[in-house]
Amino acid sequence: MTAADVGLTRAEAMTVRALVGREPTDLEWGLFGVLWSEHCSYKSSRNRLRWLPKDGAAVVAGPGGNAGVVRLDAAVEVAFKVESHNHPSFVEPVQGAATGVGGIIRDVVAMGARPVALMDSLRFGPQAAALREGVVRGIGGYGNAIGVPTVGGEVFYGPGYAKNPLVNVLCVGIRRPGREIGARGAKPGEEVYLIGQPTGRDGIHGASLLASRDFSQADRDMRPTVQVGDPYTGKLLMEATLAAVAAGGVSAVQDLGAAGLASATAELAVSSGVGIALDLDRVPCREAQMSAYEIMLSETQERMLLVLAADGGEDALDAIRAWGLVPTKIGVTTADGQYVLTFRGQRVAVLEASWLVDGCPLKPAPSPRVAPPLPARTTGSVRVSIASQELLAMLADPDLRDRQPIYRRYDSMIQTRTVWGPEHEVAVLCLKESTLGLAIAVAGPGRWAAVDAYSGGAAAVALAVSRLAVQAAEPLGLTDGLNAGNPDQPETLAAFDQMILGIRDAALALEVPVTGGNVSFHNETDAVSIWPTPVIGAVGRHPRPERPWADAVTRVGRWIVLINAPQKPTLAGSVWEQRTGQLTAYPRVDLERLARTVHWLRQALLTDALGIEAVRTVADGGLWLALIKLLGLDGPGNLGIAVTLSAEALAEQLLNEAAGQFVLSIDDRGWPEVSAQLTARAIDHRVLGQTVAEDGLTVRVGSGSGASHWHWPRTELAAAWRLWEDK
Amino acid sequence: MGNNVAVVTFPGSNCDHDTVWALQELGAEVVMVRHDARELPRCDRVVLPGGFSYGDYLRAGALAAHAPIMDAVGRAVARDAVSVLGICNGFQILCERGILPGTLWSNTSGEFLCRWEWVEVATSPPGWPAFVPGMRFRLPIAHAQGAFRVHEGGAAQIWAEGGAFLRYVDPVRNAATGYSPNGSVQGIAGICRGRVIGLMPHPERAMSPVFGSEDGRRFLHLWLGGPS
Amino acid sequence: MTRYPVRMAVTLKPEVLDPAGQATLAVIKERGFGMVDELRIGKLVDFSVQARDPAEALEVAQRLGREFLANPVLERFDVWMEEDLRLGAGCDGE
Repeated sequence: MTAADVGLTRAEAMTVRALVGREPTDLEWGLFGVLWSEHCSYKSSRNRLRWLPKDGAAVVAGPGGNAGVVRLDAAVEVAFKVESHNHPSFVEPVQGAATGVGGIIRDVVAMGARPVALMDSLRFGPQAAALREGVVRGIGGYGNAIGVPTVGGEVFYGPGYAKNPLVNVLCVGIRRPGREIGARGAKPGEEVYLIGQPTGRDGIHGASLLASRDFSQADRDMRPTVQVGDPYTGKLLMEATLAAVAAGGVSAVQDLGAAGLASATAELAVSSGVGIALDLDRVPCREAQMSAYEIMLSETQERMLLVLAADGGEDALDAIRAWGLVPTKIGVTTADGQYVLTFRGQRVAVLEASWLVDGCPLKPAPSPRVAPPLPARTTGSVRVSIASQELLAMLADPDLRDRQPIYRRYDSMIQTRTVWGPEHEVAVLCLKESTLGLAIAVAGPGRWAAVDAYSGGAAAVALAVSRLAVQAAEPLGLTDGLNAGNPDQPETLAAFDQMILGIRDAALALEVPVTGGNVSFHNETDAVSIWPTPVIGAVGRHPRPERPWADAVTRVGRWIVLINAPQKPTLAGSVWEQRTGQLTAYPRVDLERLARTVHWLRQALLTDALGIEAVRTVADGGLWLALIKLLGLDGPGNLGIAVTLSAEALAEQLLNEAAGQFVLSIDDRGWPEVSAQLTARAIDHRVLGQTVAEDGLTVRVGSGSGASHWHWPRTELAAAWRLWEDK
Repeated sequence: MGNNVAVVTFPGSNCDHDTVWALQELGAEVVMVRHDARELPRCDRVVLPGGFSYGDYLRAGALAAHAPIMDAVGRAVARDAVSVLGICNGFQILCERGILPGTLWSNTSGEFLCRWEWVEVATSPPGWPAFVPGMRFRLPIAHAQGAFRVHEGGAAQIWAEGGAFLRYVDPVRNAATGYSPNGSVQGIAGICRGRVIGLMPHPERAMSPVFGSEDGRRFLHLWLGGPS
Repeated sequence: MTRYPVRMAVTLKPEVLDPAGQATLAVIKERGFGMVDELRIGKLVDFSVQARDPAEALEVAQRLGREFLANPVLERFDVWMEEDLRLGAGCDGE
């Protein structure tokens, strides 16, 4: 065994030897290999993630734990995090996606929270039907069976994702205050228990090699035995862990994911400031003759580590047994900070826990940390003409079309909290524990970050927070899934930096903390990298979840109003531009104006007298798709929307995707006051038209003799939007 | 008519708490029972809730049908001592146990399907005249194996015996026969035999317009008003 | 050309976790089958192949197993032809 075999660089190996003061054993090399891998150590990103704001009034637990935790009210805390399972999903789509769902659910459970919602952010190449079907089957197969509803998500396509699909999953859980648990509470002299699935030779080196290197054909032999998701055991493990925490006597909980027992025990020890001594002969194994190396590095799913007080853990153990699981004591915590493994009577590893977790040399972060300059425009100002048929054809674009064929395969209603599910741009959950509810959204098209990652990062935050704002929901926290290529490529790392800075600036402007997340590098195969892809999950406090604000019109005679339309609309970064084959830099969001807008919108929605009937954001597919969704394709036949646009830059008006825009329908009584308030806040607003008694969408272009007129009945729009033809 | 309801939790049941909540909303006294209990508690009714009992890996409901509590349920049914409602996985368990005829097979699409459907009472179950033929409910389905199948001639026999309780209807075309979202024979969504009812849709998820429909509240209210 | 009936068993590789087999075994052991062990669940696929001779039919069947019927990441397959005469050695599909 050499340092290179476990993925360490020569310099890292020298650091290891200097720390240990001797030649490490094979097992010790293996431990350093996984814990110092990109996937576990965050060595390229850790110094950069410090740029993100992590403090806020609602924050209970910030980054660094299994999941961030925010306070909804005096009765409910919310644990949430996004995590990626990109590389495993490329190797085995069904199991890769399934174990991704299982993994993030365990993270939330490890915080003592019951998972109540999932969302997925998926990216595929253009011809990816088979891969997508596998991923969707894996997500549904796990989430449906374990009984956590999938309440929303997004799917986008791009050439860079063909051999680097992205599977990012957001899980949201709730717990009562006072149920704080996690990896930080262990004290010396306590007992370490392992529960769940017996350990097999699954996924050894999954984290250190599979997810920490780029792919190429030559790597096929390095593929580990693929982990198989078992939602049944996952369900028992979830219930057993929550029951054990409720029973009392549990000091700390840590889920086993990437790098298995090695990572879980070392991180728990360092988080809690204790040492740990494990007897590996006690670890229940699924296969005969497993070595200490295999036991420590196995990524068998559905396992959880619990630390119990030496006297008083009996209730917790009984609670675990009641769910049919056998808790196994595998070691103890100690006062000396040492990390000691015993196997077949021999001490096979003797290290400091902190060497494993904090010893890896981190890439320094650059400074000064200011927003990068705008990239030079190549095109993007070109005026395009557009025809009715082209607009209809766009509705069937893979990035825009109806997602129902995907989300109807997910149980979105289980747990009876889902007020708004995946057919809406934001999920709304009502809770039996509170009169307040949860609004949950994800956002982050890679298209917007393809050329200017700063712009894309900021826009992802802007859109996620805007999606909460249409439900008057105050954002409590963000979680960021940062996906990028090889961090050893300077240009990849530079774009990654810009993506984080964009997220930082938007989070600061919109006054919302980032409470945790995930970094996935090495989404690069055969030298083709993904676009830097920021997936932002946002959780907000919904003031009246039993009565969500509509996102489609309901009555004739309402004004249709567009807020924050760009002065010079551009197709840069849009679906339209992607269809032409050449993406240019997505525009910068005016964050100050957006902050004013979402603040106003939250207040305005709560003021019934303003008469806001329906509201939604403008995003992918621009005003065109926003108007169609505001119309509501399943709405009544005696209701339609008619708008008038100027003939100049018509395509840009209809198809620009600048974040921060909203469309609203407002009744006559409220409109003068709404207009006055928006004017007073210097928020751009314009009346586009109104709701009419004629079915469908009508767009009048220009005025006078040169005016033209388009009309699409709902059936025609629905047929185009619901057309799927990539099977 | 008593309203003491036992809700059974198998390992992998995941609609048990939703079902308990829904029944309590309707004023029922609910007690939760474990899969390994050898006797039912004193109760008037039993609900087998939805979920993926034992993972549903072998066949949906196949392993739960052999759980100790099902011996007790089987004995109580044989004595006509209790009314039983099986929802989704509970329906599958009742069929696997042989308490209800037929079986639930994979959806025609081969995929899990979660969406709203309309169902209609085709035949009043014995003892539940309040379920009037033609009465409709809008309820969600959420299953991968919900296609009701019987041996040849079995469907006709179920109709003849008055066991064809619920069928799916297509409200757009208003066609009461032949529509099925999942491949169920004759669009059957629920059946009954004596005081045992099984259905694939989830009434416990339709307790309020907030969740899309309150037809499930109406359904469970009528069921609780029946024999016990 | 002759029609050759083929039976293929697609099973999880021995080192891969089988949640279905595990859950099933646990229950049946509790319910009176304590003597049963090592239960794993796979798929049985029957088909026929038009070919000139058994060797060609076997080659087609093995290609079908590799390319479609078995998932090479997780599964292996075995092929039987003609009165359970086992012509092909097991193949893990890789």
